[in-house]
Order: sequence, then structure tokens, then C-alpha cells
Amino acid sequence: MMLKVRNLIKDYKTGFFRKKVRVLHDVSFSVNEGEIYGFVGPNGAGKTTTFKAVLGFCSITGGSIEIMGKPLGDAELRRHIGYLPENPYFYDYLTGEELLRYMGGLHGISGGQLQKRVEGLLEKVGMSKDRRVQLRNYSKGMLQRIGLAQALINDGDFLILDEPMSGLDPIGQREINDLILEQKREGKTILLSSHILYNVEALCDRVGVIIKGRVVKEGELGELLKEIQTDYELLLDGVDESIRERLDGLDITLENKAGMVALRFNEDIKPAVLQRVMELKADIVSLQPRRKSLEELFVEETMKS
Amino acid sequence: MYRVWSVAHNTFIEAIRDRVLYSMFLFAALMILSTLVFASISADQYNKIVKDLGLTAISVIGIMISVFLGMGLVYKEIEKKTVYNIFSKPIRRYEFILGKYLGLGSTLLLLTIGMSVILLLVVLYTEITHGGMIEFYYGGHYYAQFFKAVYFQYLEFLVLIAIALVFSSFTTPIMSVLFTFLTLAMGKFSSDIKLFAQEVESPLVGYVTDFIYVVIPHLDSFNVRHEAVYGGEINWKLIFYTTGYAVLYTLALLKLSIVIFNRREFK
Ligand SMILES: Nc1ncnc2c1ncn2[C@@H]1O[C@H](COP(=O)(O)OP(=O)(O)OP(=O)(O)O)[C@@H](O)[C@H]1O
Ligand SMILES: [Mg+2]
Repeated sequence: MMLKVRNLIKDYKTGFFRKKVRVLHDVSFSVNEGEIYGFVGPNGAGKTTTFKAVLGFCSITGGSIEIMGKPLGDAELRRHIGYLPENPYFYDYLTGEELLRYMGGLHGISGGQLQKRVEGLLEKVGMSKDRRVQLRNYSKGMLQRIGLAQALINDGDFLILDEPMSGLDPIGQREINDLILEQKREGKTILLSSHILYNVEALCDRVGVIIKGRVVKEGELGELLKEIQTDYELLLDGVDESIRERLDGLDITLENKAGMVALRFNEDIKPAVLQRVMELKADIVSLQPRRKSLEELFVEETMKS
Repeated sequence: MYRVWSVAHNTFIEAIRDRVLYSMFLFAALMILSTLVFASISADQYNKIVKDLGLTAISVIGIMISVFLGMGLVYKEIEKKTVYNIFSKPIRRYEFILGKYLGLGSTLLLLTIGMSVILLLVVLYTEITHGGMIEFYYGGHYYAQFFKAVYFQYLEFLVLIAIALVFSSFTTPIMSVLFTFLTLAMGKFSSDIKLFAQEVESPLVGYVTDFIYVVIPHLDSFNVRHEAVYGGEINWKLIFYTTGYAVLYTLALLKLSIVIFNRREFK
């Protein structure tokens, strides 16, 4: 197991009176070796805070964190870690190439080996052309790329990427996507956070969903998607809500929609529902598969909690 | 060790790419050059005036640069969140502090050498125009005194940036400038504080002033400008003791910075 986070709690003290604010209530998840793990949740859910705790930037109020079987706080462990901060800010007086050399130096890499890595990575993230441009003149997307390159400088086994796609156009996202998949093929473990769900679905093996400082769901992406994917919506005209009684025994939800009635139900009972509706001679306007987006899942889980 | 060097290198690069530093250096050069004006209006004391004013200019500008560069040394990295990049790498916190200090120390070394060379050229120029080259040939002692004064001055800068580093590792640049100048002011009058301690009757006040005297940096001991210019003695014993004092005091400050920085959270 690459990372194991158990019942993590984090309080921040804010303001003049050092008022305590609990940002992480109960965060538990684990990342297996060789997988891409997506840590998803809406803005302010606590993704970045969790990553900071994992990297040891701040103290934790409760719970435990284990990386590669070792408790937190071992600087040597960071040899194997690559980290891309959220909204990476770097030294704006350095050029892209100088930044990579500096970051490599902090890993103790030097000389010809460093040069080779830097060249290779500039090529890999498509920044060779702008290597001698100062970072103050980089665009958001360029910063994101150089940020990713510095996270890869030590060729570490465990990549922690905070919103790797943010600020990128679709082509850029695709390229980063491919790059992350390539890292996986090389045997790396990747933990990434995102609120752009599309990216998670395309990339991740497993996901953890964090809402308001609690991990509310964790599991294989396939299973999670099955759970949220197999909804159908049947739009009926010429009936009213009393139809519910006629559909007794079937697990459906019912909603008024522009004067019509919309039924939502799971794939398993599709034939049964359709059959009953035919018997009732209701006017079928449409039948659509509905995929609960993770956004809706957020909303649902938020309601529950 | 390479990690410390990397931080030092980057700190150095940051400093020398800072435009403010260039303007300050230019200002120092102009101040040194302007001593020529004073030299031209004082017939026989020309050389002493140039050296005295020139060394003072180096001291004032050097102190300003030390404080200016030192104030944001650590604070800026936390504020701009570059620490997240740095400490996701295997570098230890003490290595970072050492790197920062060495980087700034070498920046000041370069600046001190630069300013001294300009002053030296000005001194040579006045000697030539006043026909005093003989002194240049036969007065090696005269120049040795000059270099000793510059060396003492550099020691003061080293202590000063260590002071700024301590403040920078827990407070904002504005506060750290304030604190540094306060310490500087006390340091400049450290011998007066000693005198005061001997004068007072109350034992409690005596202990307190004694304590302050021991803790504050004795910056006035780095000032040998008068000796250098007017021919006082700067012997090897004094050089040895002053160097030792600067080194020990700086090490204590670095240790303090590291202790403070180790406890800091980055959020
Ligand atoms: N240093 C801090 N002091 C006090 N509160 C903080 C601090 N940092 C973050 N928070 C609070 O913690 C909560 C979680 O923030 P965090 O940055 O972890 O969210 P996130 O999931 O990364 O969101 P986003 O998707 O916007 O990046 C927010 O409500 C934020 O206001
Ligand atoms: Mg975030």
C-alpha cells in the first residue's frame, strides 16, 4: 500500500482570537501501488488540506498517515515523491530550465544526470521552446506544465498532483492526461485531486469522494459509476401523480416536469416499469438513460450529511 | 550538501536579479565618487577624507542592502507558497536556512568587493592627481589597514543578515526591518550600555543591562574605520577575536532561526 490515511482530522486556528475551525472531520482512504487514485470533491471540501497534511506541511489534529508503510515525517521518504501544488507559483525571476535545475538540486541530483533529466522533461511537457523564458512571462497553462515537470524531476514512485488539469485548454488537458497515463504505465502510483469530474472518469482506477471534510465514498471507479450511471428517466404525458399508486411495489422516484410526469428508476426494473406504463396506456414522450454526474452525487451526499 | 548549495545558489540569483539591488549599488558608487568633491576642497587631508567618507558609504549602503535583502528571506517563500515545492523534496529545514544564509552572505561578499574596488580606485586617483604615488609604493601598511577595515565591515554584514534571518523566519518584512534596525541601533551603542551597567546602583537594573549587553550584537567592535584612516593599530589579535566573535554570534543566530523555522507550519 502506497498511502494509508486513517480518520484524519485537521483544525485550523484563524483570526485574531485563534478560533478553531475544523476543516477535515474524518478523512480515510488508501492508495494502492500502481494505481491512479482520484480524490474528488467540490471547492473547499478539503482536498488540498489533505494533501498538505500528507506531505507534512502542517501538523494534524488527529488520525494517522502512513506513506509506504512508514509514519509521516521522514524526509528520506520525500525522495520518492513528486508533488504538484495547486496553482503552482514559482520563482518568477527564474527561467523554466533554471527552475527544473533548482528543483533537481533539492533532490541532490547534479551534473550530467540533472542535465539529462531536465532536457528530457522539458521535451516531455512540451516546454523546450520556452525553456529560457522567465516564469513571470509564462501563461497559466505553461506554469502547470513546468510544475508537472518539476514533480517528475526525481522520477519518484509516488506522484501527488493537486488539480493537474486546472488552467489548461482541452488540448492541454488531453496532453497532461496522456502524460499521467504514461507515468502509470511506467509503474508509478498517482494520487490526483480534481473537481473536473470528466478527468477523473477518464483517468482513475479508484476514487474517493470528499465532501465538507469527510470522505463519503471510496471505491473502484467502475462500481461507483455503475451506482450512479444506471438511472433512467421516463417522461409521460396525460397522466398525473396518482400514477404512483398504480406502480406500487416498484422503486421509482416521481417528479413533475413542465406539466408532464417524469419517472426515475434503476436499470434492473426497466422492463417492469415499461410494461406497467404500457398497460396504463400512458403517452410515452421519451425514455432516456440518465447518468448521475458526480456533481449530483455531491449534492445527494451533502443532503445526507 | 548539494541541497544547501542549491538553495544558496538560488538565493544569490534572486538577489542579483533584483533591480532594487542595482539602484542601491549605483547609489553606493555615486556616494563613493562624490567623496572626490570633498577631497578637492581640502588640500592636505584629501586622502583621509576620501577613505573615511568612502568607508562610511560602504557601511551605510551595505547595512541597508543587508536589511533589505534579509527582511523577506524566509517570509517571502512561505507567503508565496514556494515552500510547498521546496519541502516536498528531501531537503531538511535546517539545510534550507543554511542555504538562504550562505546565498545572501555571498551576495554581500560580491557587493562589498565591488564597493571596495570602486573606493580603492578613487583613492588611487586622488593620490595620483595629488602626486602622492610615493605613498602608494612605500605605504603598504596604509593599504593593509584599508583592507582590514573592509574585512571588519563584511563581518558586520554577516552578523546583520543573520539577525534579519531570525526575524524573517517568524515575522513580516516590515516588522523584521523594524526589529533588525532596533537591534542594529542597540548593537551600535553596545559599549555605552556596558558603561551604563557599571554606573547604575540598582542591582536588578544592573543584571538586566548586563544581560542585554551580553545578548545584543557588539556591532561597534566591527567599526575600525577610524583606526584604518588615521593610522591606529589593528593587530592580528583583534582580527582573530573579532572574527571569532562574529562567527560564534552568527552560529547562535542561525541555530535560533532553525529552531523557529522548524516549528513553523505552512498553510
Ligand atoms: N490556512 C487556512 N486557515 C484556515 N482555513 C483554511 C486554511 N486553508 C484552507 N482552509 C479552509 O479549509 C477548507 C478546505 O480548503 P481546501 O483548500 O483544502 O479545499 P479544496 O478541496 O482543495 O478546494 P478547491 O477545490 O477549491 O481547491 C476551506 O473551507 C478553506 O477555507
Ligand atoms: Mg484545492
